[in-house]
Amino acid sequence: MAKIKLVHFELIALLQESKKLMDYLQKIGITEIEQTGCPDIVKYETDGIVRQFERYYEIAESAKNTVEQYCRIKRSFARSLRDYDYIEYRDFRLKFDKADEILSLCRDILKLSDEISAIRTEIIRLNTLIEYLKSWERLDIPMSSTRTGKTSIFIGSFKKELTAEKLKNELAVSLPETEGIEVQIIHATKLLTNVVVLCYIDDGDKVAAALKSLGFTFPDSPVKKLPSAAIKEYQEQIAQLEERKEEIIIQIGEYQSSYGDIRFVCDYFLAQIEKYKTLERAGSTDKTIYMEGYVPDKDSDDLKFELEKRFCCQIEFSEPDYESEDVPVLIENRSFAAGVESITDMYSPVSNRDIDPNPVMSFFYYGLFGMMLSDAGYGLLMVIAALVAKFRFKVEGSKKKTADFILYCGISTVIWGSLFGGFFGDLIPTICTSFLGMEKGPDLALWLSPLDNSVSMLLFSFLIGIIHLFVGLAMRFYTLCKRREYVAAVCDVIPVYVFVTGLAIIGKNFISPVSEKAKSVGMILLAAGAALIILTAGRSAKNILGKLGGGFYALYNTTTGYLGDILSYSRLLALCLVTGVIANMVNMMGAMFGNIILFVIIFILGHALNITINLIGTYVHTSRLQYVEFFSKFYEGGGKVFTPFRFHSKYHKFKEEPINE
Amino acid sequence: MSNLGLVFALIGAAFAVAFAGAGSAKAVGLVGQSSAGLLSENPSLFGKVLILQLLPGTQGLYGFIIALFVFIRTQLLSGTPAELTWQQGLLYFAACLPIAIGGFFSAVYQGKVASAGVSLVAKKPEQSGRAIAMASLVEFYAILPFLISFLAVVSVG
Repeated sequence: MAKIKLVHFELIALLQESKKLMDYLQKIGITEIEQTGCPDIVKYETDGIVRQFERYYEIAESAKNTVEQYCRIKRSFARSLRDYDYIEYRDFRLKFDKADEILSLCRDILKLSDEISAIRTEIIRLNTLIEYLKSWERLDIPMSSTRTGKTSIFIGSFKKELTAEKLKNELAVSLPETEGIEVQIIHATKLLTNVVVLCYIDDGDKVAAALKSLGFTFPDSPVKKLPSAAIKEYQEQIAQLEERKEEIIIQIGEYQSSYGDIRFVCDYFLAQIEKYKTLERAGSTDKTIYMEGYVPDKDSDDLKFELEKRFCCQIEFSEPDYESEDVPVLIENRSFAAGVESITDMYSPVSNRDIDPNPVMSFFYYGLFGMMLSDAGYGLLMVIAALVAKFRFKVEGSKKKTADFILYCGISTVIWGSLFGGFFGDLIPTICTSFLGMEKGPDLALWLSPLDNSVSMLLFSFLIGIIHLFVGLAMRFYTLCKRREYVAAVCDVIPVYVFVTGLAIIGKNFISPVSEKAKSVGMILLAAGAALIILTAGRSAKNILGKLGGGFYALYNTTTGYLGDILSYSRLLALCLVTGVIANMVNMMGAMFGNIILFVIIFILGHALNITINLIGTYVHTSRLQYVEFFSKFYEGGGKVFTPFRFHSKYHKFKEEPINE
Repeated sequence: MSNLGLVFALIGAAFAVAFAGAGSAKAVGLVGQSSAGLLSENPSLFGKVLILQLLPGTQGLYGFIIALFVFIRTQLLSGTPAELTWQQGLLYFAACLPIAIGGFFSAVYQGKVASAGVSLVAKKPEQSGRAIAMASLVEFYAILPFLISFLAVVSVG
């Protein structure tokens, strides 16, 4: 049985020991603490303190990222799968007193990193200025000059391309009487022309008006110095800033030795946040702390013994009240079934009314997955990837479950792929015919090739579907029996078995004829099943008409429902074929040129694309067959997952410790 | 018109690759636009939205495969195309229609779902698996026309 029995507990302890008690409970991580329902006691207000720790956590986390960024701490692929250090909890606990010290160190690091960002912004600003001034570099007077003794000077730009001659001509047209206008082009591009215009000081106003009407604008930020001098100065400033930046980076580099400590405070604050969030669910009086929750039954005796040995406290266990309370559910499976737990949870977590569907579902999940992907080569790649993750990188927790999931899906894909003769599509026959000069490649299928036997394959898909549905019904039978609803169990399940079996035999007759004997058996089953459904399905109605009406309605529903369900399994054929067809096309396109290098390139790219698309498709459609066809027969879900109060550390993993250490 | 059959077959191939491709282009473009918006805020999500953008691209590929198969069956690529009667040509044409029409529409709608998925990922990056799952459900209705077109092209003639 994969569902672990939980018991409800009530714990009362001395307030002065509460901190130690919480630390202990968090360390052992087997209790889920519920919002206490006791009305007469004071609730903890921990909002403020939680927020404060969250702020500290952010500081520590950004300090960690800064150190990683500037100290070139390697972020390898292995690290991304398993980014934590092993540590004894005792050693971890010893560091608690150092947390404040490390936090102030984190603050120093953040100050440095803020300074670096400020420097970056400043450098960008200066570079923009330099860029702008470069267009004025040839100007040999300060940009802010407006006059000399006898001349007016206009320094500014047009937002178009101009030549000195063209501008002079335009000015001559608008000011025919004014003489002695001098124009110098400093810089000209398609969108911008910087010019200096000189004229006698008496003509200043007229020239200014004329220039304005031609689209002349003064610069937004003229510099008082010569542009070339200003550029030089800014460049020097940038050099200084760069130097300062290097200094800071070296300073940050000195913190590399504290990297481990910084990672420790990240986890330390996470633990505190979690602790105080949990504490809010407990209650207190002047001298005591009270909390209630759930713990696995198998651990309850140990827990009682240990708690009473360590603390002055009292703990009582009781049977959970399934009727009025939302009791959490704890599931524990071996790796084979644990792999699909996340699939079930994505649909809806197991509730107390359900039996754990994972052990049964896992067989079908892996089986159907392999049948749809159905390429031994692709399956082999999955197996290798999963094994590398498991044994080379030693992934743990939910990542280990994912690795197991991929492993079993891969194994199943290899098996089905061998039965159907797909190894990277028709890779081996293609190589034999295109590169080895053989007439015809070997037929690899151990059983049948779906592409050449699509009708048999379709019928086989339906057969698998019927088995899947029947097992779902059997699960319903079992669930109802467990709830002691024996009449419902028999009436809901047996007639459907009889009816659908008949339906299947008659249906097969339409696609490929069956023997006369089978046909008559089918007819009898169909009729008997229909009669049983009509007689039993309307049993909840009060009068005889209602019962019959309900029965006919149920017959209609069963027929259309199961027909739809069974036809839905044609996707097994569809996805199986599509993997093979595209894989074959990739091989064919590769071999078309008769060049082995081109073949390898096309092979890698094409199959990478095919694997991606089909992995996603297979995953989705296998899940769908479980959710819509299988779960609808017996599974309710809507449960609450047992989430023990523990320490969700990001960067540390504690060596396995029993609660009594 | 001695080779009217081949003309029909090639129009069919053109339909398959052009319509399915057009649908994919429209859809991938749509998802690309919403992805670009998201990436300006959070570039680290590139990997997740890339898959969403790629999903509606498969219809174009399916159309291409069907067209290529028509070429192979009519021996167009070998330089001496087969002599087809106009009836045979029309059969090829009919065989190409499912992926042409089904591919076009499934791509467009898959693009819409994927594009909405990008907004989902923008708000909740951890939900990208579900966004991908929803978009892949539409894929199925491209796979079905593709298979029918494929089986038909292979069986015709």
